[in-house]
Amino acid sequence: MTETPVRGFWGDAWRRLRQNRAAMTASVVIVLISLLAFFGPAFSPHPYDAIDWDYMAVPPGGGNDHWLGTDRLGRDLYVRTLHGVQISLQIGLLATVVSLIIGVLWGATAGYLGGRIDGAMMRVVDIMYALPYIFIVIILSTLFDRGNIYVLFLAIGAVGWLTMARIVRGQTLSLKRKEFIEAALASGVGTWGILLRHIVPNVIGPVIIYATLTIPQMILFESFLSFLGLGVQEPQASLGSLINEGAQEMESAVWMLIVPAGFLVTLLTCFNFLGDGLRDALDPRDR
Amino acid sequence: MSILLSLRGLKVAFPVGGSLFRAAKPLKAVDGVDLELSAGEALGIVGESGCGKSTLARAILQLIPPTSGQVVWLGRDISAVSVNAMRPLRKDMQIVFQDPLASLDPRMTVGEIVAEPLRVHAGELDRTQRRERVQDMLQRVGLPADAINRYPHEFSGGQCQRIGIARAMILRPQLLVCDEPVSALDVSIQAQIVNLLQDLKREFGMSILFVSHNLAVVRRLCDRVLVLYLGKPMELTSTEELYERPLHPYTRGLIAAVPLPDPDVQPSRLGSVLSGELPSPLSPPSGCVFRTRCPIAEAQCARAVPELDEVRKGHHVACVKWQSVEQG
Repeated sequence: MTETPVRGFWGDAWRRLRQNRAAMTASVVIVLISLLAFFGPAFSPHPYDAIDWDYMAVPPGGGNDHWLGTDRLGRDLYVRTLHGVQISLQIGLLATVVSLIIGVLWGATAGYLGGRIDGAMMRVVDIMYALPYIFIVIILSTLFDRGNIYVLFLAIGAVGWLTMARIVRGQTLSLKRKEFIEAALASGVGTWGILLRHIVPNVIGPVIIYATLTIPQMILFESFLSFLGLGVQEPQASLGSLINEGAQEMESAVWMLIVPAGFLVTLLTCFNFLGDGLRDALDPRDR
Repeated sequence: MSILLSLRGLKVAFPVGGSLFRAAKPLKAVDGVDLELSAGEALGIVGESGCGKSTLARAILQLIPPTSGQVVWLGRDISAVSVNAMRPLRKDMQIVFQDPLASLDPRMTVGEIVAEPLRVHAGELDRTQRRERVQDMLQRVGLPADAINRYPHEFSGGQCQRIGIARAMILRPQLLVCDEPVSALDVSIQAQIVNLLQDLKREFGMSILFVSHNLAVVRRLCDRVLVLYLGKPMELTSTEELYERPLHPYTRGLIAAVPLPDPDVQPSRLGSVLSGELPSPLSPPSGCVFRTRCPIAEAQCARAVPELDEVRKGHHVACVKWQSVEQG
């Protein structure tokens, strides 16, 4: 008899994800776009902030080396878009990871411990919900240098975890009455063991789904902040700020909108497919 | 035989309906249970739904904190020890739950589930040794060898219960609490699980506390039986004595309610089956809690709470009229 290999929960999930063609295609596209965004600008003759006085607002394919045209100030749109993808991806992913970690731990702890601790922790969430987040961001950006994108991560992440905490707490409340939690208690598993080994893996399904929705949300939120002048500052660019600029020129130079918007739509669609695939892979019961 | 576990006046109450402006009312789920369990003994706890059987089982394991009274485990009162001090003791007392699938973490493989008590209590074992122990135990409870890598939802109810039993038995506990372990299963599967428990008891010699509302199953497995009604003990005696000479009117009613597979006998017995509903445990009747449904209740039953007296050797009953039950 051959020994069956040891497969953990994550090993199984990975095997199931690999069988999902849409999710695998989406993740390949995400990886390709990310590689292009992080390494592409180095292979282009144009820096993202250099102005080419000879070619201002030229359309793509104009017989010069600006493949995707230039913007109003004569900056290469291809390089600027890649730079924008880079910034947007960083902000989207990092802010999501921050909100995920804080939200899951906060929500699971509050839901599992219950009683007064739960009450106090969730009131903190309620109060933070009630604060206008724009003020938080404005206060943070006056405390630090304007345009420092790490302050942006902090601000966006600090706002983004609230909904996640509520979702996880709700899931935890229904989970902790389950008999398998009681069984773990009866086996002598400690509070942290139950939270990390039983509660968190069981809430991961809804969390992943919500997280894939959060990444595009964070990217859009960042572009909104950029529009208010609180986000990425010129000459830096994010997808949001590029689309914003492009939208102002859309009647005369539509490519300035289409190029960054195309990248944004492709990325967001791929994240959704990947999220779908992850959900199927992480939930063995739905198979 | 040495005493493994004894309960002294154990009470568990839950606060119900409290708010900021009104004090909560206590719901007495378990109301004064005294009991001694010897090593190697199988004790059945029977009663209707809502009589506090499961609460009693959980209070013994300190999964629900008792309101008052003592749980004495091997001479030590564990009803007030801290969660951390309790942890090493859990090695010797394990539980099997009613709903087989709900008691297994859907995200873990069967191997991980069964190995969990080993992770907590047998840290000296490495992965391979742990896996060997798990494999042995799975085989012992009658599961296929490849079960170790599969997930609970791939198994039937009876197999899931075997997984639950494997998890409970992997540390070779001295006490196995079974909370209605067969009531969610098909009748044919019930017999298999009861046989498995019997075999394990013979092999490992642990004590069993078997909570059930199924008298036939209890009769098969248990040495002694405790009858509970609204959290109070009604009768406590050996299984044989209980079924042959029940001395409490409630026990009589329970035994009469067991269906017999004989159409000629069955209808005539229905006359003596208990009527009425279980009173609300929030406002239990005065005196004897059973008097509202008792066929032989008298005025005196409403006045004083009957004590659980030893009326024959080893036969305890809480009824002032047990003599008339015995005669008629």
